[in-house]
Order: sequence, then structure tokens, then C-alpha cells
Amino acid sequence: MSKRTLPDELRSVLLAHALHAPDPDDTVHRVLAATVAPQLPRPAARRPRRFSVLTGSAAAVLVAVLAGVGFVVDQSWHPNSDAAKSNSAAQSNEGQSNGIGHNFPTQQAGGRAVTPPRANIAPGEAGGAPANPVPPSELNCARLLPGSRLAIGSAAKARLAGMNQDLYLYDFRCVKPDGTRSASTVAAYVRAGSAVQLRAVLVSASFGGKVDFLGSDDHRLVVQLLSRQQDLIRQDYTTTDGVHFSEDTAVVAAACTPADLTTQIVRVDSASPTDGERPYAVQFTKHSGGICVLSGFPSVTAADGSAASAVPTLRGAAGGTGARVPEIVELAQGTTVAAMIEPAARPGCAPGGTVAVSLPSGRSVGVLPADVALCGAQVHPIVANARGSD
Amino acid sequence: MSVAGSRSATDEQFTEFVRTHTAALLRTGYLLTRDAGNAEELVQDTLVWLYPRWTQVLEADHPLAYVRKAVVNRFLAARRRMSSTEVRYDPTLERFTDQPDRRDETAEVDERLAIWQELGELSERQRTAIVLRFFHDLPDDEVAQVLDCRVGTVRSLISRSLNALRRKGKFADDGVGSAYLRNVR
Repeated sequence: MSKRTLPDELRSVLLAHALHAPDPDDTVHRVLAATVAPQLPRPAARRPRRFSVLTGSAAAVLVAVLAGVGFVVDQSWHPNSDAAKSNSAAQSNEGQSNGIGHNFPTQQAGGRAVTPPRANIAPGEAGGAPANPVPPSELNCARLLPGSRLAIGSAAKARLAGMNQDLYLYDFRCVKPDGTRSASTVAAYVRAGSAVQLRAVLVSASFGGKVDFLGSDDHRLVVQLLSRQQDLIRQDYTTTDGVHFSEDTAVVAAACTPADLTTQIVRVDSASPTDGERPYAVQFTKHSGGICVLSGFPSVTAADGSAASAVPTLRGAAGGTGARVPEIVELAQGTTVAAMIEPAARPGCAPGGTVAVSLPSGRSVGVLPADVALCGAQVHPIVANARGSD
Repeated sequence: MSVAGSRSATDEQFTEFVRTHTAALLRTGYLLTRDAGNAEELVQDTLVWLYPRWTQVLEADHPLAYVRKAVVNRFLAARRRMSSTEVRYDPTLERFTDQPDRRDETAEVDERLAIWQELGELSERQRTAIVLRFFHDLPDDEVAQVLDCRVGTVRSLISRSLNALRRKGKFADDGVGSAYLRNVR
């Protein structure tokens, strides 16, 4: 029996674990660089660009296959179908994403929020997917994204016609403490007692897609994801035995290109006002027809050659969306979406008058007039309103 | 003194504070968030947010306590905003959980490990009260000031937390109840 009291033991435990706190040097440097000394060389960002590393040949192969086959999007199911659209204002603040894996029903793009049947559910919800799937053995977070931990982004339960048991879909991803995440691994399970048993891996992390939505109808499992090239694609899976699956792929919406958009930078009011300078918003307005998608952080750099640039942040001083990853934003013709630029309280450089802006895909939209000093500034992810912040 | 001179002096004081106290704030942040990256983000964002209002901090009786309260408030606010749909795989439990990360990399005796894990199961407010009371040794009235609640609420938070922790081991005050618990009841 211990001779110590609980408070004594508690103090000991807290003191011991406080020793695991991070080294303060990096934090001191970042804080000073963002406040009193923006001329300090910026250390490696804790929040690296989420999508910049997602390049490779698999997407090119996918696009080539899709172009050759000419898949057609099922407009009766997609929320941007004519049936799903309403007269909601294009720049309404409603319909914000409510978090990972629940983006699909809440896209606005001129349409109302539409919840498909049997949509995403959080594992463990009553009547939903069990919360304890054993991840596929091929999923190795230490290799996929060092320093990350395994998480389930979303799950779905499905009962397909002709099958006598439910299927459970899970979106596994590896997530680092700063919110950086790996590509998704989507796997199908069946119930075995109180647990679930793996039947098939439908989408491997090597595919490079990031799941937006899992769902089903009577005949198919549906996985909607953002591809390596930031196209929103949909993969339908049919099966009769829950073991062997046939796959069908379609492009729901291509990534927006500079040719689709009119871009400008404007001053906006912050939802979380500080004593510092008012924020700006990089606004993207779609002027072409059809639907396209944006997700992530635009690149905003000084056009005067000074190399000053806004650092991506999910939850900077002005708050942020509350989501743990950037949401996927769909744009219809006339829709404006935006990313907020938050200037430093005391920037160490003068505004250059112009800034260079690129889309999350890396494609440049050009140099824009803007009287914003980028030293120590932060840029938030693109969200579905014209202010760039909730 | 000119405005520029005043700002410069404030900057110097801010810089000195950041260099002196960031390590302590990170320790608090780590005990609250239980994650190194989240602790860094919490402390960094708090200090950057406070910088424009640093004169208010300096006017406080205890600037460190003022900043610590800002860290706590930001931690509790961030937890409210966190997505409720993502769940995390907990290797110690071999299952997914929507509870905060209870990952532990130390090799301590089972009893201490159990206490650390149980701290991760507490609510954010309970854990904050425990950290302020037993790590920072703040009296209950100061914990109440940080949490913006009544002293009775603090004692209730801590009492329930200690009861939960007590199940994780055998302690010298078992059977008679700790002085703290006796005072609460």
C-alpha cells in the first residue's frame, strides 16, 4: 500500500508529466516573430501546407481513366442537382461545415443543405457503426505521417439490397497534433458479435484521397473524396457478398482553376476583433458555369520580391472555423468564397501594394492590389462565405 | 515619453515575459491539453492574441496569473469548438475514443500511470481545476477566479475529480478521507 496521500501522489504525477512539456525555444521564436520582431527568420512552420505534398502519378492515371470512360455524375443524388437547389442567397452564412466528415450535406454554392439518406455518423452513435474497428494492417501511421496518431474521420452503416447483413464503412486517417493529416484509408466491415470484422479495404492511403463523405443507398456504398489533384470524386461500390466489390468512379466537381475565378482582396470585419489591424479576405468568385471545389489555404506572398508570406493557420488569433481540417467548399456560378488574411499586430515591413495569390492547388491567380503587410501575417483556410471566417 | 518610446518599452517587457515564462506556460498547457503540439499552439496563440493588449497585462497585479488565465480560457473555449465527429484510436485501450488524447510515453508505476490516464478522462474544467490546485498550488478562491465560477463550484469540481482518481490506487488517506474532501463536505 502506498504511504502517500492522493494529493501528494497527484502532485507527483503532474510534476513528472510537466517534464514532457515541449521545449520553449520554438514557441518563443514564433511568438516574437509574430509580434515584436517580425524580421526574425521564421522557423519551420508547425502547420505545413496540407495539400502541397500531394502530388504524384496516381492522380494523373485516375484522371486519364476518368476522361476515357466519361463517367456521369448521378445528379439525383448530389446536393447541387437541380432538385436539391433552392433560392438561398449565394453568400449566405448558413450551411457551414460542421466538422470532419460532415461537409457533404452543408455545401452552399447557391443550394440549400441537403442530407442524403444514411449519411455519415460518428462511430459509437446509437444505431450506428461500432466504435472499435481494428484498423487494416496495412495502415501504418508511423510510416504514412511520422508523429501522427490514428483517427476515424467518419463512418457509415449500410444495408444493400440482396445482402442479409449490414456493412460498416470507416474512414481512417493519421492526424498530427497540428491538424496535418494523411490520405484516407476506407475499409468495409461486418458485425461480428459486439465488434466488427474487416472485409475489404476499398480505398488505400496510397490512392492519396481525402474523404469528404461516406454514405450509401439501396444498391451501393458511396465514398466521396478529394483527390490528389483536389478534384472532388465519387466512388460507388457494389457487392453481393460483402467481400468482393465492384468499383465505379465519377468526378463530382473538378478543382477550381484560375480561369474559373475572379479574385480580389478586400478589408473585412473580424468575428473576433483584436486591437490589431483589421483583417483582409481573399475572395474567389466563380464566374464560369458548372461547379468546382476549393479546399485548403491559398498562398499569399508579397509581390515585391521580399519573400514575405502569410502563414497558414486553422485557428489563428481571430479564431477560425473550429474545424480540424479545411473544409471542402463548392462554388457555383456567382458564388463568392474567401480566406481571411490576418495581419500581424505590428508588422515588421511596410505594405508592398501588391500580393501574389495562388490557389490551394498551387496554380497562380496572379498579382493583386492590396495594401497589406505580410510580415507575420496568417492566412486561414477557404470557407464558404465572403468574409473568410465564421 | 513618446508613443514610439512607450511602445518600445512595452515590446521589451513583452519580450522579456515571453522569454522568461513561456516554459512555465507550456508546462501548464501540456497538462491541460496532454499533447505537445496542442500545448505549443495554445500558448503561442494566447501570447500573440495578448500582445496588442499587453499594457493591460502589465497593469494586472500578477501578469503571469493574468496570462495563465488567458491560456486556460482559450483552452476551454477551444475544446468547446473542437469537432465532435472525429474519434481517435487509443492504443492503450485498443479502441477508438472521442475522449482527449491520453497517450502516455512514460514507464511509471501502474498507480501513477492510472492516475495520469484518469486525468485524461476528466472533463476539461475538472482537469483545469486539478492542475491549478495541485500543480500550481493555487488556493480555491484563485482557482475560482481563473475559471470564473464560485469557490463552491471549484470544490465540487475537485471533489468529484479526486473521487474518480481515488479509484485508481490505494493511498494513505484512504478510509478517513483527505482533509480536502472533509472540508468540502
